[in-house]
Amino acid sequence: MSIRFFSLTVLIVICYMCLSCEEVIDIDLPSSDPKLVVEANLDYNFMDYSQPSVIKLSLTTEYFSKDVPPANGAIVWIEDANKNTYPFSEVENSGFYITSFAPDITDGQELTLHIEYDNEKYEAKEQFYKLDTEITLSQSKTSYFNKSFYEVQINYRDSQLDYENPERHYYLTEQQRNRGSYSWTVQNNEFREGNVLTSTYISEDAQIGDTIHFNLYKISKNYYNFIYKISSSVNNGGGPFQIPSSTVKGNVRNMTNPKNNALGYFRITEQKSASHIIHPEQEE
Amino acid sequence: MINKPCKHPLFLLLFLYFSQSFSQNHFTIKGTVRDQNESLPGAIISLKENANSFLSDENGRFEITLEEGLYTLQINFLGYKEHVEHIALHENKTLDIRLDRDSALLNELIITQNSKTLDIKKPEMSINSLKAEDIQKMPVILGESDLVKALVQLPGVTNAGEGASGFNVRGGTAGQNLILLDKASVFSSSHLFGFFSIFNTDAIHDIKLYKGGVPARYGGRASSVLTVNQKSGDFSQFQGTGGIGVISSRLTLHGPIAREKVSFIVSGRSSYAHLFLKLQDNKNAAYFYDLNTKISYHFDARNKLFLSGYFGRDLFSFQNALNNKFGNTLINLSWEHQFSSSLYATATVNFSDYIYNLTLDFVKFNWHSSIKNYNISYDLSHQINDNWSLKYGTQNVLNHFFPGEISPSEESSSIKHRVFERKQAWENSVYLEAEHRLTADLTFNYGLRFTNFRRFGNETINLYANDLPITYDPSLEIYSEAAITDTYTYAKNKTISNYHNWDPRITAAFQLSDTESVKAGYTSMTQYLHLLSNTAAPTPLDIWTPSGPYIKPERVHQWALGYFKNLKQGVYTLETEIYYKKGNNHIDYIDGAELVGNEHIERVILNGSSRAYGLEFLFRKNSGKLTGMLSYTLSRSEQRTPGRDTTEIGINNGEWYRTPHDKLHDLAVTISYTLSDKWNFNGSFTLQSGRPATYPDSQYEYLGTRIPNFGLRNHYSLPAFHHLDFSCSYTPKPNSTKKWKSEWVFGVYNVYNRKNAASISFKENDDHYNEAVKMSIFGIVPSITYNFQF
Repeated sequence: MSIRFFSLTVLIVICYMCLSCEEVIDIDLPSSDPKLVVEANLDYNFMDYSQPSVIKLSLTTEYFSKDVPPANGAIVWIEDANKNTYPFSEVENSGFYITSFAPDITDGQELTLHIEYDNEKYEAKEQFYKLDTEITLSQSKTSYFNKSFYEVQINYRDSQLDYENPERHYYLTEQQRNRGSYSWTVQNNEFREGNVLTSTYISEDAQIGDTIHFNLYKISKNYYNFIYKISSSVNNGGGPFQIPSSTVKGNVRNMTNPKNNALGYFRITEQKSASHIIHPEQEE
Repeated sequence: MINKPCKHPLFLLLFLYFSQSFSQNHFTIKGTVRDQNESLPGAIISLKENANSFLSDENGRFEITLEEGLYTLQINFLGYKEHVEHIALHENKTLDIRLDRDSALLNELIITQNSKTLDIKKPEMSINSLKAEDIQKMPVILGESDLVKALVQLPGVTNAGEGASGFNVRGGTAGQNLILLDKASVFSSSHLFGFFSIFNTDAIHDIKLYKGGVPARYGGRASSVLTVNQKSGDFSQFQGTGGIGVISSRLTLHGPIAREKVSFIVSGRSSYAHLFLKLQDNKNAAYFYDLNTKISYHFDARNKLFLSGYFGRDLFSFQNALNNKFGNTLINLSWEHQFSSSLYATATVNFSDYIYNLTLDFVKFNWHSSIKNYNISYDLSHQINDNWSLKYGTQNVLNHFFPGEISPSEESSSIKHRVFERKQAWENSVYLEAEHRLTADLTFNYGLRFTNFRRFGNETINLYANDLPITYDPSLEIYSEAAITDTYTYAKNKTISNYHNWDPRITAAFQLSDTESVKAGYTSMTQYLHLLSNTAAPTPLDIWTPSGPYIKPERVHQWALGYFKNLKQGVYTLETEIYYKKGNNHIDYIDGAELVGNEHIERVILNGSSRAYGLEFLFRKNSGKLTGMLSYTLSRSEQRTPGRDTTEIGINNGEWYRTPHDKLHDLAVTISYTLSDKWNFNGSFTLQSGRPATYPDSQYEYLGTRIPNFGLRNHYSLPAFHHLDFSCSYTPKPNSTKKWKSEWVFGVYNVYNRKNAASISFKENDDHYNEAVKMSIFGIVPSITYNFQF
């Protein structure tokens, strides 16, 4: 997580804590033609090969629409540097395309995702970064504003490996409580090169006995930038301090009509996971 | 660096052949209007014989040329006794007029009041001046009178909304305002993220805002100039004023150190420590304080020395998890010297410092950044003859940028200590400004300012392939930070970048009749220091950076035309202006730009252009029991950042888009009614277009989250912004002869509790559906303040 993110969040909290009020309003919003959205997460978990690789294709829809339409009937495959192809097949008009035969991968290798949908061809290239670090988890209890919270931290040492661009390494962490929904954050190793990086799960709802599950990924700079922009689109309600938002561009190109690139991203990562069960703790 | 003053510098000769004089039986009366302590700008000098009137200038000086004869001058200034001067004019005369306080009039905490009658003859336009008293009269949030909130009532001045720092003048950004507190430049004008300005109105003598028509003696910023002058202490008697309010309290003490020679003023203000916070939790604090001081030393009639200072800080601390401190420090030393009745000089040395410190315990780091400047200037004001006066001088500013230092806040922290590369630059200017009366009806103010900006080492500059710090991927249409290919270290004092610019300025006033005039002007302004801000409103974290190899100076040109009229001997005044501005090298940011903690800021910046145009209308009633003002602005402020070449998409597809502070309509009405000696009522109403917003035109799902897909930038507007405010002041014993005088001020902000939208955000609720959420900051806010004077 960046310093900026922290600082702005803090500002907003201070500034509006007791003064502001929020209310849900009705508003007329513009609409636009549906676009293809790609969520292609080729996450290698070398400890657990049982999970199939899943690519999710959907369409953009009106902002207030309750359902997000899937993109059905696409032809999807992955191609490696040796021109080997690995087809994905759709599960019952769900927009989920799966395969059990993902290509073997080595550090720095590039793969290409191909999609043919609605008579248009899409392509995305991405590089794989190996995650050569071990995870440890720790728990603490703190209080903010007279409420106490359990904090669970994931700690991992910044990669010592040098890639083509040795200056930065980028990480994504996902956090989940009791099989609920995931939240995610990205951070890079700036100011902490080679040191231990941490990411914290903190929630008012967390109780003793809850399981907090973490996934850690090493990601490309492109994907880091992508997720960073996605985060600021989602956290857009910053009052006067909000940062201008615009369409977040990913890495899926439209080869038929270059003016109509797909949204979303094709990522290749190594995933490491760990879980923690919250245990009772002495009050400070 | 200081020029020796000389009465006839060579370069003046160039201009002299323009000059002409009137027929020989005309003589000139020159004078200065002042009270015990300081000069009185805006005093009315009325000439009984021909019912003409004049105003004293910002130094309290005036000049009248008349035929030989007998005249009676009446000098008036509110709060002072009228002064009458009989003159037999058969030679040039110099007057030193001292006005005495009229204690009967001084029944409120009014110290001075400017006459608002327009000086229609003066080639000065796009300028608004306010006295501390004007500001104190406006009803404001939380009972604290505030300079910036008063400014935004004026036409052409806006801000990004409630709770937004800074202010915007004629479409310019907040970082383009040159703010001078007693000649020292102020980097941040807000306390508490814009809820208050850093200026304590008790310590302010007068302010002047140049929205355009900026004289050549000011430079360094591209949009406007705000001069704020602190009060001098009383030279004869020890006095105090103060106030106790719901948010803050203040106390001002002033008086003589040596009678009629040396005076001091100390003015302090502090908010309460748990502002906005729950009281039971004493680990938290959020407050600000500031201190204004000034020592005035009148050596003799010809020499005056002023030493003034400002120190202000905002402090926030939460549970020891966060400590945040920021603020300005200013010190100014000015020496005013009168060489002769026609030549005045001011030598100034000042220092300005803005710091920002942050400790975040949960990330275990300390952050510290600052910007400092040192300024030496020498300004001369020179009356050549009846139709000619000149101002010339030099200003030399040394800027030190300390972009940041990050360090671990405790031993267990994994943060590595790092100090960002310091930057430094000289900004040296000379200027010459002439006020020139060509005919009895036509007067010009023209001038030229030359600035040299030199950024110098010791500094290491990054090098990039093709000198481009930003790369562009044409297939994905994404801008991203380029890799640093190499670095180059400039040795100490070695020039890194050198820029120089000539900024011409001209304003003409043509008098149509005794009561009306048209004025036109052109201003060119260059800015070498850039305030990096990617949020809709500036935050205290915003960072200043100098022009250099990758960031070019920003240049703005402005044209303005106006019509001015005094009605009923100045009881009513009307000012209308239209303007057009265009600028280049306007900074814009690539999507996802991180500005804070970014050492290589050039890797997120693109250069664009800006434009703004508008119509301003200001109608005032200046005297009587009922006074007031109606101001309306119709304006547009836009920016555009096209691609660097035709293959690039630019920002917002290279189209013009509205700046975050663009407001098409802006109407403000302020009324003040004096019912009796005891009761005074004020009301104000504001109606504005909502500020620009970006709305999503669709949504999609990614990583299990609903993502709003935003359309064209700033293409939509928030709902209209309006509120009505009231305040009244009650003076229990207006005719009391005791030294202790007091008043109560009761105020209500936003009387009908309008929930104005500060922002509309788009987010997924707990049921995983999208919704639009309006955030509003102030509903109805009542306040009460007790003011006293002794």
